[in-house]
Amino acid sequence: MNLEQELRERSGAKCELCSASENLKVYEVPPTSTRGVDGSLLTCETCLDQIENPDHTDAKPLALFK
Amino acid sequence: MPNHWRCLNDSMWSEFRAVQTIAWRMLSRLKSEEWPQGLLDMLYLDNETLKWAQATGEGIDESEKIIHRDVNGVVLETGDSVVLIKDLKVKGSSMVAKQGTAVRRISLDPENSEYIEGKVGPTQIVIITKYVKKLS
Repeated sequence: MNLEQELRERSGAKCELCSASENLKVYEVPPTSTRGVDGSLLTCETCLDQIENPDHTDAKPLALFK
Repeated sequence: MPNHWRCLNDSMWSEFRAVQTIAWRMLSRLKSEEWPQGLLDMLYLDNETLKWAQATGEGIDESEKIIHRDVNGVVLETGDSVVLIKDLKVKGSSMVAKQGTAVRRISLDPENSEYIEGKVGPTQIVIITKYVKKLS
């Protein structure tokens, strides 16, 4: 069984963060000193995009008008 | 889209450390709002998991971040390899770490920007950043 299959089994084929069931990807949590299933999670594209791009998540405004 | 992350309300209780780690990081990123700070206050991580979660510097203001730099001012990260630029006596032992020794997969002292750790031979030692040069 490969990593993705193991994670699918663990999560019930759902995003482990928001429970979405589509566009699921394996995310190896950096720094990747813990490898394999323990160091990874199954997540959807929406979550992944925001994890990797802090600009897309920021609660603070990205720019302010004077 | 901070509201997307209200999902962490449930998923932060996952038994899996990778999920806990990302929940902690995302809540830390959003903690200027009230609800993520509230969840963060409830989220308990064991020491090892907390260290992992903190390893990317998430949730720390740039000005508070401890940055480790080598002799040339190059930023060092966990997992980097460095080379010693002079012979270093290892305190409390007769061992000398020789100039030119490569130290692979270093880790950073989270509290002191002058200290990194790495293995020289079989021994884990603390090395002062001004005596190392990053290997690219």
